Amino acid sequence: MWMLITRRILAAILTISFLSLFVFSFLYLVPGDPAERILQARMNGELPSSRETVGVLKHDMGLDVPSYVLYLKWTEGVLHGDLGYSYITRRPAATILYESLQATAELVFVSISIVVIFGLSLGMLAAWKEDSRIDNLLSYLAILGVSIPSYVIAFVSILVFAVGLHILPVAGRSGMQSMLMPAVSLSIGGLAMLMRMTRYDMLAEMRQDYVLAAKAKGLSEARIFIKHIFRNSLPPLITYIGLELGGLFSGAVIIENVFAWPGIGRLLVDSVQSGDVPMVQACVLLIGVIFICINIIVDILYTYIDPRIKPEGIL
Amino acid sequence: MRSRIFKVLKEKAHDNKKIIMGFTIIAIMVFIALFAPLIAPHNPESIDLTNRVAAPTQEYPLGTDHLGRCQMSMLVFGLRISLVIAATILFVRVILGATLGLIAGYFGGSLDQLISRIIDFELVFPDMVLALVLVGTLGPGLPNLMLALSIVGWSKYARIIRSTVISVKEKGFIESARALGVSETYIMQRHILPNSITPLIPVMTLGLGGLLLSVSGLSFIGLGVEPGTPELGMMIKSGFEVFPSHPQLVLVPSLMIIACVTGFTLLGDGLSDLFDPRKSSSFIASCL
Amino acid sequence: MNYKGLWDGSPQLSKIASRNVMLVQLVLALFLGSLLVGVCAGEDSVLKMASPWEPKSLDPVVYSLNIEIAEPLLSVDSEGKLSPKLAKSWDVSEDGLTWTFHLRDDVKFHDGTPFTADAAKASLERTFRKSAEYSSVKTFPIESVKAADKYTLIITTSRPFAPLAGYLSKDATDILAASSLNDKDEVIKPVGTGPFKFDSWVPKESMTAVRFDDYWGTKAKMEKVIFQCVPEEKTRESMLRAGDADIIGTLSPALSLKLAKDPDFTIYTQKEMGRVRHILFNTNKQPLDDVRVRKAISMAVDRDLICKSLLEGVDETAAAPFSPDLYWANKNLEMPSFDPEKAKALLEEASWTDTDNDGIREKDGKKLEIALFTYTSRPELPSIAEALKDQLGKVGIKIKITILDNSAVMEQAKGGKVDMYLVSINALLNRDPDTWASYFTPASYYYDCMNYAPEDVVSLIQKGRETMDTEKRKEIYDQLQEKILEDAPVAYLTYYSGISATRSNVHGYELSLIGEHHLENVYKE
Repeated sequence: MWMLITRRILAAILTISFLSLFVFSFLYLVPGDPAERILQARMNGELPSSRETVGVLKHDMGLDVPSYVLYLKWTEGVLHGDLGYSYITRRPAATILYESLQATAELVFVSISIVVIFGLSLGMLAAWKEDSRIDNLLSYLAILGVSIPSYVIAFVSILVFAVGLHILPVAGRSGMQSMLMPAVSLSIGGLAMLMRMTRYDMLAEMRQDYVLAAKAKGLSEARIFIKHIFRNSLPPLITYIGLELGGLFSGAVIIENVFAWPGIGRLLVDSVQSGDVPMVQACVLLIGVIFICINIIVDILYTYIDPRIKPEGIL
Repeated sequence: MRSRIFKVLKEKAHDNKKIIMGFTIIAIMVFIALFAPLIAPHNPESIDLTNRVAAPTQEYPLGTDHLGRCQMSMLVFGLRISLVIAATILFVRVILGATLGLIAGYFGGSLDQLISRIIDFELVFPDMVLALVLVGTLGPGLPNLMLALSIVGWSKYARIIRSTVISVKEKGFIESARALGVSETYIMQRHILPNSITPLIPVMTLGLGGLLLSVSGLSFIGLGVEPGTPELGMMIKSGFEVFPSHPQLVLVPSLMIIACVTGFTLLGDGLSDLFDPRKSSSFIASCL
Repeated sequence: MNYKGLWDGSPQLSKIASRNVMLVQLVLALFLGSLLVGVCAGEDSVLKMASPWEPKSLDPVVYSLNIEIAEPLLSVDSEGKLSPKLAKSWDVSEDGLTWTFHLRDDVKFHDGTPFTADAAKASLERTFRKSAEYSSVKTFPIESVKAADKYTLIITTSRPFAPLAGYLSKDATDILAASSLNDKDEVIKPVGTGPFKFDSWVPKESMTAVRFDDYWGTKAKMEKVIFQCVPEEKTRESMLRAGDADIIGTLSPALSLKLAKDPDFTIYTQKEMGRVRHILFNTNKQPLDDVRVRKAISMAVDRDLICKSLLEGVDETAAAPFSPDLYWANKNLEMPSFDPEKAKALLEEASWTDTDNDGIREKDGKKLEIALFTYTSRPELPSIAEALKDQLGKVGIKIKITILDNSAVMEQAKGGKVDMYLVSINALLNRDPDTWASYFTPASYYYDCMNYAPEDVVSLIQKGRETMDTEKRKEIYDQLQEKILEDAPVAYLTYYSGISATRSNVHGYELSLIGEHHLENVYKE
């Protein structure tokens, strides 16, 4: 097992270095002068009128060298634990990243909790009451939940709960209240998906022969349902929850913009648009590391839940 | 025993209902998109600065936007554009994923190891992050958006193909074909590909729904299509600017997206149940 | 639901299960908490402002602080001319090399230390050393900064350089006390002289400032100001409606129109000094090498309609770089008016005629097709481009719109592919008409888009830089405006107005000519 984890980590390091090289070269290969874009972002879309000034600014920021030199410098920094400085704000990238990551982690944590708790329990309810009115209602709601764009939920909830009813703050990050709308808008899609999957998996499991055997043995239905059926249908659900974390990160990009949530999604949008290469690199690097860790954790969880499965990547 | 068979039958009927509903919705949407020029009352691009943000009239069933363009026409063409974008991206993703999956599954060994690691990474890494980096750098616009979303999100297809290929390979007939000196490409074409398509179809259907949401989401934060292009996410965004005085400008495009995604979800669900009811959840897991 | 029951019999898993139970509790607590706490009422002494601009740094050299925490030596008056701020007055020596600033003697920094020429010298020297950002001082011929006495500051230059003063009214030259800096020359806490004192900063989120009771001017009325960064306009609007914000900034004309109809809100618009939307013409490529075609285009554009419709009547039409209420405007210019017939006649005269009746003019078998470029970081530009396409189409000019990032357009321009470039540029960015004039030199960043820098223009520009007397400079720039109007390397379209909205119980708000939010006189009822 430890061997495997080591191997996975080595592979991960390789993947991440490729990713960083790819992102970096991409940022420098696009048409237009990257240094000009950075200057423009720093000056709110304006540029100094003379070329001489642009040249001096480039020199001051150390951008007048070939891009591979910039990449080598950056790599050297990372190896020494230095993620560099944001071109725009001149603050250390690691600091900015830390601030934003906190905000996003809070949001994603609450969202994934909502997804897991409500997704699993509603899915179990639907499977338990298969074909009942509540099952039907839940399955329609689930399809609706998967189909509504998160930003529509976000704006409608702002209009209802903040502007109309005045019970929640519109935006910003100020305690638990301000978390509610972004977290719910972010989690509806994943929740609906997980609920559908739980129902499916449990129904499939319920048709296994051992269920009949257990019934014949006189075990109570609730006990069979929870102890055997639910547990046996867990592995794919855990995989999905692992993947859903990625989905929540993707969704956070949009939701954070709507709710002015100072997280990594907004940081990324801003940095990409302003050509803040060190910031983009730092974000991608960090997100890469996070998700490789999640991947490995999911694998380990797997072996705990079902020792028959050998951890060999996801699924 | 009898009751169980009855139950399975009932289930099948239920699935068919899903397929029928999903198919009907999609058929209507595709019809609208295909015949957009005939359905749209106006050219969606023609602007009229003297008739801006007008209320619905007979001539302009949904009113006009801030440039005086017919909203109804923009919506119809918007649906067309959104569907075409989603379908194109899906196509590229499937080709990319299938190629990698095929190579990994067929040749196995260290090549498989390498590709599998890449697949795993792509699968867990948030699609939007990489797409955002690409489209943000290249700037908004249709080709850039399609490029950005095409090079992510292919891993599920690669994974499905890879596992199908491995399971097909284990069946004896490939070995014997190879022993008979049949070429590798021929084996791939004749035996492996056809077997892989079936499990792909439901996943692709569900994937289309997810793509519609991603595309509109990117447009919504200003990193999708160029401003002014009729695209559903963009239209919802500009609709919110005049909300709630002109609620139809938010409601109609939103309903359009919801209907499309619902249609694809129902269809994909139904299909995956039909093809392999046991595996349905892992299919869903790899979609959206 | 009893989660524990799911897991019994498996010791490792019960650990996870107990964590799960904690999750349930947490989420329940979240929901209940949000219901119980309810709304906390906004205090009347706290002012909340939301804007898309993020307070990106505590260092004014890097990025504007957005709230008036620190102040520069000079300011601008309602005509856009430089006016006193921390300097009571200033003069330049005969040879134009020595600038003397007479500073106020009644100013205190937020840390209680007095504002003196020495403090100003230290702060400015740091700015000149650090500031590459806003308009690199490194290209300025600055020789020395000296404190002649306690309240007299002297700056010497190696050659006459009139635009220097304008630069001293910009945020980047805000005067900071020595206690703002750490030993690495970084700002850890901006200690300035403004009406508000820095309190706290949450990066990407907000900046908070409190009233400075020893302010030299009129003291602020609000005790506390919170400046919040909210990128999405619809969210800002919702905040205003819900009362989460008292003032919201940088609104679209459409939203301002909508809010204006509501008695709960007050709209403030203010033309931003010098910002003008215009088209740059490539003057050395057919068909725009012909001044008649350029003038025809300028005449075929219905600026009034664009302003009234697209821009909701908020922005005003422009025919010259400086709006008539600014000091630097040449008020004697005869502005081009909307005249499609005359435009058509001019095109005919330049022998562009529609021979095959397809609605597009031709000359020597070549169609009158023009590539128009613009960018999206100013969201109204693509819409204006669409309107231009529509209007120019009516006189037989076919426009092809390409939307790219600014620096990508420059790359295209180097290859000569850009015929027209629709931009929104601040022609008084450095608070000096030289910002505008320098677009017409070969050293201009935009040179490749225009290829316009005739010798007489360049020498006038040079003369403008070396002339110190304001009235004489005005004559030079008047002449230059006349020349540009005649040669038409650009067509000015509209000015730009900043728009803010407040709740109607908020009074005394002022949006300045340079887009600053003046919050010092604001009070709430």
